[in-house]
Amino acid sequence: MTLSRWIKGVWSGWERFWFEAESELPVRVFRRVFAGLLLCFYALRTPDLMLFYSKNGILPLSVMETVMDMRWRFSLLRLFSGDLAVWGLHFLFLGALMALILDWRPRASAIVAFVLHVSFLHRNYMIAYGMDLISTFLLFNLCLTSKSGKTILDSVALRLCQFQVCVIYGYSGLEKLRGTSWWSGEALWFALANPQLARFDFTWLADYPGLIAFATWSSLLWEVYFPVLIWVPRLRYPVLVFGVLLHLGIALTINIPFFGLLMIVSYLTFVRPSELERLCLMFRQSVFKKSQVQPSGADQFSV
Amino acid sequence: MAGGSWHNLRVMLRKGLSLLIVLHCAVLLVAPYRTAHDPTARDARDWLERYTRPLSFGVQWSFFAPEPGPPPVYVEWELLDREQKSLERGTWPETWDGFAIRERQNKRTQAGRFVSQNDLQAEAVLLPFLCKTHPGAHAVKLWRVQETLPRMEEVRSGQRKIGDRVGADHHYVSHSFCPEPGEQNG
Repeated sequence: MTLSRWIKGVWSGWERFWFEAESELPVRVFRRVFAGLLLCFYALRTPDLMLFYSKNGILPLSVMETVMDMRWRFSLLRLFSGDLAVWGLHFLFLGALMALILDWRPRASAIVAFVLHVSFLHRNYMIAYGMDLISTFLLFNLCLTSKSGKTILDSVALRLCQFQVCVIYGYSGLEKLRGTSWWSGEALWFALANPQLARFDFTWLADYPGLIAFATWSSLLWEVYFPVLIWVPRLRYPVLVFGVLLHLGIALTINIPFFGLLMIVSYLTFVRPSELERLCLMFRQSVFKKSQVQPSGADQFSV
Repeated sequence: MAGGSWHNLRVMLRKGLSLLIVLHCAVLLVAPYRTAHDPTARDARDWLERYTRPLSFGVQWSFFAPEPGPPPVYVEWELLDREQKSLERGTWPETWDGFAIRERQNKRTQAGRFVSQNDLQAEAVLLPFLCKTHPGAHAVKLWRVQETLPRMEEVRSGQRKIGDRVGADHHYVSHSFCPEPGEQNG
């Protein structure tokens, strides 16, 4: 094989991967479910809006600039810092997420949501954690998507979301290899024995060190190899199923349920369109059946 | 002819887009390494930050890594009156955790971790906040507290319990006076 043919082969593979992905259904489904999750998550900050973002709250602008390196970090909340502006921008952000759920001007809505998300993030970085940080990348990718989900940029956005998930798991997994408790098999114990993290009292688990070690090592292995195994067609669904179980486990035991749900939602970008269609159909049928059952039940009741 | 030029335009567009994708993905891969000590790497990082910082892309992906944690950290505070008598004691975040949905407490815990990182952050953030929210206070004392987590065998043998606060490190931060009314600014 000549060099030029090899280059042509690589280029056509690259084109197929980035520009010709079957993006229509995955992009549209992911966009709506992801926006729904973000809407729930960020609606919850409404009662604490003044505490975290107001000039009378815990971090006035003057204090923020002394404790955080704000170079190149722009925020609309630094330009409009009044309480009314904070409320207005918060509800505009929630509105943009609602528009994404309703599929109304999705690209413009995603851009508004992204700019406002980053603005809130940069206004008070000290309260940001995994959910906020991952959402930034996924929202950025959604800015590329169109209503139809069929354009070349939709394909790129889908691949970038997949790439981002691989980067997150790859780095987190490799970083864990530096920690002694991940090698000794005790890491999960230290998460569950931390009252700031754990949802319940897990004292009983101290009697099952083998179980803790198994869970620690299996999640570590899965995380390290995720960026590779997810691209092996036969292993894709086992890898995703393990991920769903792992994140559901985290959501149930550790007090960061939204983070787990976000990672599960990001898996939608890996599901093949035909199977995603089946999933959507199953979901619709279950909802439809329920709504059909209710009227008949009501009729029987009235008789 | 028109078809040929359309094809050329399409190829050009795809090549241009490919370049952007390569650059963007390279940034996503390199950005997590922010602790470069080499001068050249530091210069490169400074340049890279002009792209990552506005978009908030400079994230170090290290969930529960290299160790899960940190162990419970918070700031203890004591408010004093003009005679330096204790008015009230408390912690940030409050240890009370009665929110129906824990997300609200998670944000406070995250803020607690931030202010507990060093003395400067603890004092710069909490002193004006506590003075503002407790108008009668004349001065504030602060301590950074880091608890330790019990090992499995310690819990199994009954030596320790989860959340027992044994061996917590209390680090004295400061004893500072509240700004006089009019000195405080938003």
